[in-house]
Amino acid sequence: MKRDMNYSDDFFKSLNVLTGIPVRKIQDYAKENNPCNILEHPMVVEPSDKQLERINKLNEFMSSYSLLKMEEEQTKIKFSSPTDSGKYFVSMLGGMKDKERFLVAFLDNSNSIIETKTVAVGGVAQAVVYPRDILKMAIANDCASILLSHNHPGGSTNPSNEDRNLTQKIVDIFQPLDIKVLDHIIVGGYSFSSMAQNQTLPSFSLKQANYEPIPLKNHEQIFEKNLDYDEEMDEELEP
Amino acid sequence: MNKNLRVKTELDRLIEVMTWLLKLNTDDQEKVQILVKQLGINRFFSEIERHDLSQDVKEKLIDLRNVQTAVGDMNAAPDLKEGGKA
Repeated sequence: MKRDMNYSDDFFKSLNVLTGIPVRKIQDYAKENNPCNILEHPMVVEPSDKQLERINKLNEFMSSYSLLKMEEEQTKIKFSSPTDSGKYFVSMLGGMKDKERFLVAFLDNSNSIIETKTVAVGGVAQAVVYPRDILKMAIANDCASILLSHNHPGGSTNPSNEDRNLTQKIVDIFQPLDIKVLDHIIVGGYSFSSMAQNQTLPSFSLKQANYEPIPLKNHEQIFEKNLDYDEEMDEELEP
Repeated sequence: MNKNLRVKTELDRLIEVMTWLLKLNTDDQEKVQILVKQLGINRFFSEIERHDLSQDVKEKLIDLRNVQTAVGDMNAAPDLKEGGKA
């Protein structure tokens, strides 16, 4: 099938980089034929075994890409329950044991995702969440609500005192702006807990918004601390 | 197959193929995987220049986009026998 198409040098170069077929060979074939045939019928350019393997992989990519693109166009991710939110964040953070990551999903009025961003990543050094950055992203997205989520590399899904304090600080910032914090999902392994579901999500602003960076404590330390948890410690931790 | 499972399987396949084709190291593979999940495949490829990835990886991704776009355009173009302009 011959179609009216002009192929750029970029396309020829890219096809060469990805398949290993020389640019000259692709250009010569394209003089009389559709160069996309090279992907559909690789033998037209008599590829080597290695080039053929790369063409096959490229075809696999195209096929997966098309399917995912089509699925995306048909589906808009929408949250109607903490379970939806939990499953969504488990798909992104599930099983991550190397680093602690803090994600924020920005939602529209119908609780559909506008955008999800990673706002902090913990490594050897302590990760820090910058409320000012989250605020900028929220305003840029013109969102109606947000969902918070982070993973505990140790595998626990129990929110620590630090997690609750961090959530309260975010609520303190967003509630006066009429942006709801719908939930804070904590992912451990492939499980999750939802502060909204457990009724531990702060529902009102306690004090004036504080835009100071919030350290995301290393959960391994917090987890160890929780093992020694007692009444006296609880009192010490209370503000 | 459940739709979510189908998408997840396809996404895993896509990442695996991209890792092989572009020779991604573990760190880049993880970054790409997170970005694709966060942004979706459309935005991931349309905003390559904005991603926190090395220039080398970005260039390889642009190559993939160039080929994908050309094939997509070819599929969308009218067949000459079906009335397309010669």
